[in-house]
Amino acid sequence: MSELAAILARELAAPPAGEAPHLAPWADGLRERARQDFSRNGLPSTRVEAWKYTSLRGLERTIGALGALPAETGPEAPPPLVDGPRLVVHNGQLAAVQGEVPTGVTITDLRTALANDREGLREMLESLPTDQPADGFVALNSADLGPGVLVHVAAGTDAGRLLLQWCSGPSAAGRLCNSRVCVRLEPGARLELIEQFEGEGAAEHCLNAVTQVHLGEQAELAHACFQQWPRGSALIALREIRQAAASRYHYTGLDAGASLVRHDVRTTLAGPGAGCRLDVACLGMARAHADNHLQVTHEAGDCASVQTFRGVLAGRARAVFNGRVLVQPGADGTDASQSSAGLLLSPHAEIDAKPELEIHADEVTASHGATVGQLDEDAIFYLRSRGLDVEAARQLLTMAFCRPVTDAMRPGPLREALSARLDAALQALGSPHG
Amino acid sequence: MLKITDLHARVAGKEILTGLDLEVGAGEVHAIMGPNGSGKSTLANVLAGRDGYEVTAGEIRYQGQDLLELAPEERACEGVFLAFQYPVEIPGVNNTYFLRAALNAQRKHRGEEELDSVGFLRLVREKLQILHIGDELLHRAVNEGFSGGEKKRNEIFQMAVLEPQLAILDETDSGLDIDALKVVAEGVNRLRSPERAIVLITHYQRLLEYVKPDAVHVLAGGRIVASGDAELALHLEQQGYTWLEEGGIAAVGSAGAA
Repeated sequence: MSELAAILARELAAPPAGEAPHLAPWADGLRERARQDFSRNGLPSTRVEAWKYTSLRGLERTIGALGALPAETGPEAPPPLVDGPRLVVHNGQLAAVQGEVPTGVTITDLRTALANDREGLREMLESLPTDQPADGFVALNSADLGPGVLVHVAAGTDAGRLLLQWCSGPSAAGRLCNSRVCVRLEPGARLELIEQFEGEGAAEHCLNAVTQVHLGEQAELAHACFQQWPRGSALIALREIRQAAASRYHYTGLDAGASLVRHDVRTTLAGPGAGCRLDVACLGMARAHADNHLQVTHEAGDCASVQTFRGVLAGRARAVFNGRVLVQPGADGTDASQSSAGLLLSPHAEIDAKPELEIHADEVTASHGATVGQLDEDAIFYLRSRGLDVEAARQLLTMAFCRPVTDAMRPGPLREALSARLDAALQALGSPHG
Repeated sequence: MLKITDLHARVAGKEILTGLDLEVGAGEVHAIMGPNGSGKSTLANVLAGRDGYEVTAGEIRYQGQDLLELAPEERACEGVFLAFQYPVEIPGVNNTYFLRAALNAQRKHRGEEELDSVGFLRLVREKLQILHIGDELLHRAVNEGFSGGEKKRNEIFQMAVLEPQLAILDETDSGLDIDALKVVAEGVNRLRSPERAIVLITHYQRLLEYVKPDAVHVLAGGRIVASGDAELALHLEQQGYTWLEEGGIAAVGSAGAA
């Protein structure tokens, strides 16, 4: 076990005095099991297949303690990415609910929710395994279960938009904060959930966030994430989504900051006619490392899934894309597609793309395509021949490269805001000083 | 406007242009004709400044400047426009956005105010109407999935919006049906003015039925071997290019000079 894991395991075993959370017995049991799993497995090493490209050595240098921290009042949350009600999470803890939350939507501090069993929370939390070596961060998160939030949307409610702002205060420096977000949409409910990871805060900190989503029949969740944290910070995010029949899930992820990013997005299409779309754009510069693992499990028949990955890397940045489609026996009529493309702006940048299709059913349509390359010189010349300088031509083409990710979103203020952020980030990436 | 003297150019180590001389004055339309492999496209690409086209000797003066000293975008900003033989498809870049960025880059270079989206759209619609081009191409990505004819129309449309001083059309008429050919001709004729010069590089005489050139040149073996008026193009059409190689050139050359 690494030194960092040993430190974290010790802290979990001896929580600071005076902070005995009043949790339901099942929640205590879950924490304890996860703590044992973490003590046994620690954090995943590169010998674990799912973590083979992602070394935690940088994290070990910057992180030295668990961030069992109170929510801080400052610094201020960054300007909201879009208007609407928002949840401000500081150091992993729910700090504020701002704006008017629509009828039918319930926001509960996770610690409060854990004191009893609300809205099927127990079932949701217990469904997440923590016992495998690859699950190190999940085990760590579950062992420290408490900080976070539960979002519940009643059946048939169109909840509109909810913004979740992740902030870290100066006291988070050198620490790893755990947080859990649980989202349950009852049948026919709709929500647009936006996670914003932005702002100065503590540069050298790590957020280990686990988001669990349950979508009832015909429920729809549009889930967007924009991350532009300062260099030196780290984000480990797991999203586990379970979809009932005819539900829709659309994930749009944009990463343009931090030094270490790991995203796991795992969707299970559990009811017939469900559909999901996982679209990710990943921008890296300097020595940034971003590892994206997307996984769709087709359990039921007649479900459709799409995965799109676009990586743009400059400097010595590295991105990993692992796109997995698993079609279980009986999931006939599955339609799964995947496309990944990487753009290398520097000879020292690197992309490792690994599509994995595993099909155990009949009448399945599955396609995948992967490319990695540089900007098209003919296209650059074409643009220059019309008056754009080299820099502008390259920028235009780089923006176009990522366009499929934002184009797939529903037109509206969120798409506009994300497109603008993406373009600005690409501009910074492409500039010679980037 | 344009004066090319003793131009020698190489592509991939092979000499393609072997001492080309050409002078095009303001207000003139010149057609350059010649068989495949004679150096027509090399000339177009050298004029536009494409990488990989190495000028080994000679010079090109454009409005008194040394054109070869300018980067491709500087040439464009100075008013040189090349209609590509094979326009490039650029997925994800909206045609309107691209054209506005190009026009504003050129306006900025000339010290003119940039056009806002309203002003630009007005200009674009006016040009489309004049050229009888539908506005669906405004909403599509640059040349993506365009048919051959649509790509060429898009080149002419760009030319109409950018209003260059010197337009070079590299086989824009090749492979077009009669409607598309008329769009090209209309674009050229609309652009014609006492301040502008147009060079039509073409394999066929067909376009010249709609655009009457002031001069026709025959390019063969990397240089201009004959020059004349529109009659020369008709002559070539009837006789074909093989007749050139069989020594008919001397007769035409003297006819052109007369």
